[in-house]
Amino acid sequence: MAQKVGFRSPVPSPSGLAVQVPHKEIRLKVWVRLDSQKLPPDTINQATAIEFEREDTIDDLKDRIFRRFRDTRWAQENDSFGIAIGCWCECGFGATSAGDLKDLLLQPVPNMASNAAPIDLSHAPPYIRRTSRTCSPHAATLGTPPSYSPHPAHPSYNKLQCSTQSSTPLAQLRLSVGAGNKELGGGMDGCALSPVRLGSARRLSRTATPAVGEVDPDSIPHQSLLEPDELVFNVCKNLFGGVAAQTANDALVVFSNNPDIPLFDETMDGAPMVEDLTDYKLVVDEEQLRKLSHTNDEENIDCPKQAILLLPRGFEGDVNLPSPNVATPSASSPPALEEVSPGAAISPTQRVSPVLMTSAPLVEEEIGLVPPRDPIVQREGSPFILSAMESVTTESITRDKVFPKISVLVVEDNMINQAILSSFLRKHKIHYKVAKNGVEAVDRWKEGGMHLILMDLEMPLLSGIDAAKEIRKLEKQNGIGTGDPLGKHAELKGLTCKAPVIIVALTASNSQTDKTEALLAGCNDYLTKPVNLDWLTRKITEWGCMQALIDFDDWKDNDERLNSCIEQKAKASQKTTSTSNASKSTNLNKRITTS
Amino acid sequence: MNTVPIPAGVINWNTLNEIVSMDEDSPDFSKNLIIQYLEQANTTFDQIEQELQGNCDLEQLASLGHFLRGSSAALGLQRISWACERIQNLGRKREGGVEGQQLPDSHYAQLITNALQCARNEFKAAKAELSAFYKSEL
Repeated sequence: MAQKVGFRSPVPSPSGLAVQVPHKEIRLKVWVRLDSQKLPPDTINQATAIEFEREDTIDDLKDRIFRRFRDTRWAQENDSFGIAIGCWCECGFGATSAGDLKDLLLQPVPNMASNAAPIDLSHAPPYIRRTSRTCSPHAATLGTPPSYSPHPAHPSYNKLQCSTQSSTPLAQLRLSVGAGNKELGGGMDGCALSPVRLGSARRLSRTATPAVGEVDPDSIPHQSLLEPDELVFNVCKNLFGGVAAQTANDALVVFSNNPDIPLFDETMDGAPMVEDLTDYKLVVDEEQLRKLSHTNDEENIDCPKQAILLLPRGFEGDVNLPSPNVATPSASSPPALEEVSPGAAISPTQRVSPVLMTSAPLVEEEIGLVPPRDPIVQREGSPFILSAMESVTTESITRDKVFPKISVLVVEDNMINQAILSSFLRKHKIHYKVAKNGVEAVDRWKEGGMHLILMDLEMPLLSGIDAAKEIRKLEKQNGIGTGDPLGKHAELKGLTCKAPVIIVALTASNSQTDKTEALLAGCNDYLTKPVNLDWLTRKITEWGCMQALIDFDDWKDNDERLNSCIEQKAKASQKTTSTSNASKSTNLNKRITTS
Repeated sequence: MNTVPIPAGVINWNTLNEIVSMDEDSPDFSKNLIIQYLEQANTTFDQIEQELQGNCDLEQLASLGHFLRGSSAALGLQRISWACERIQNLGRKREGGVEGQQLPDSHYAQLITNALQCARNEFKAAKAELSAFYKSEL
């Protein structure tokens, strides 16, 4: 099961399908405001009401926020990977974890409390997790001295995370579908309280002021981030007791991930530069690492601390993470006590030289591995980690979304529409082929490897309807999707996809007859032309994930084939080979779960 | 019989802006696409014209109308798309007829000729608006 960790559906539920049916409901609204810590003090930062749909997840809410603030600088400097929604939580950690424990008991979690001796670095995550809660912005992942005794609830908390990670894609999907269940929230992020838990946490009074010289991590207000696939509706219900009950004062906070990019240029003027980013220290054994964590911990809390990037044994190549300054708070940013924003935990303050990496590889068993804390990364699963990270740094702000790795066949007779669709797919690095009529479509499909066909219906030679019928007929003959893997007339040896292809018809008119005809011919879905790119995005995500779920092993193999294909393209365009790194991180993730 | 009203604006900017936003990755993507479209539209208009003067095959006219309708709609050129839809529907005798009456093909051909003229007019309007948008004569 462990090797299946790589996949995680970015789509929480078949909600997109449900959205098609317009709801006759009152308009739902939720108050949000931008995190004021990241804004200059004189900026007017009022809470804003954002409308949302019943089925919207937190991720959808992000999109809506970007749409609302479309023309602002904030929207240009952030993208949906770089922001998180949550609130400032002042709960004491002990108090929450006591509450957590109850939730945790709902999970079949072995009791780890006794054997998680903090000295044992191979079981490092328990106190790493702890640290990430205390978090100064710079002590990214590993700052607690080994003598620190973790809270008893902690190991099991961490175990919960492991169990979430090691579950099968299907189980994960089920988890996601059940978003809003209280179990879900805890698994991903040390701070991502589920709304239910958060609700109780908020009612706790402020804890006492910490003793001088010793900052009590429990009392530090920290960001509580909501799960990206949590339903906004549920969040409102649980957090505020109802959608209408929220007031502007209770607005959810939109945290942005790049405090280093000033909102106003003048804040940068004269500000001291962040520490030399090329300066790094390579640590290869446990002892050095422990010393380093000690130093980090004992330093003045106002000082920038050194982030630690843990790499797997035998890690080769460059560390393809977002440019360091994205996650490194500048010296001029408000000091210390805030929670590290998501993603920062695995971002290096210092960039590690690839040369040194290969000559002195780190040993994962010795130092332990830190699971990424970025909720997005967690959610998407490992094959997407680096592409997701890449998107954080790219300038593009519109419609950034991580797609499942699938092959799409575009069938369009009109060059213009063909160009639009293929350029959209190229932009999102989705592998695709093009056919300009039904005959070509069937031929391309016979070559194999196709997961999704976007099929224009009216075409010369062979219409989309007839092409769909033909493909379904051939699938039947070849035993695809019938549970007969060999098939009686297995004439199409080249077909590698064992699952039937998904055909999405592109209908020119909105007429019901066209749609019915398309569905009768064997199409699975339809989009009305002109194709709205937001809808296309949803369809590709939904159906693509469905395909990947249906035939996971095949998807993995294809994934490798695709990787090489994309790598070639990437080399040609002098771009970084994010896919090869992605597959490395797949391995990395596997090890996390097996260790 | 013609129940579908012509859209108010020459260009549906919601749609076109989606295309324009792809310029982020490849500069001039939308402009080149528009130029390609304008050529395609001219060619298709000529083909329809020829068909009307030649064989006057209604099915052929309908499919030409459909063809241009697709790309016009994709670029948000909704009034051209509307006119093309008329051509398509007239070619299939789905509109422009009289209830319970069998009308000759020439009747539809005449209506298509009108629709073609309409499409050409809208094409000029769209071209002017697009030229203004790209600040260059397209």
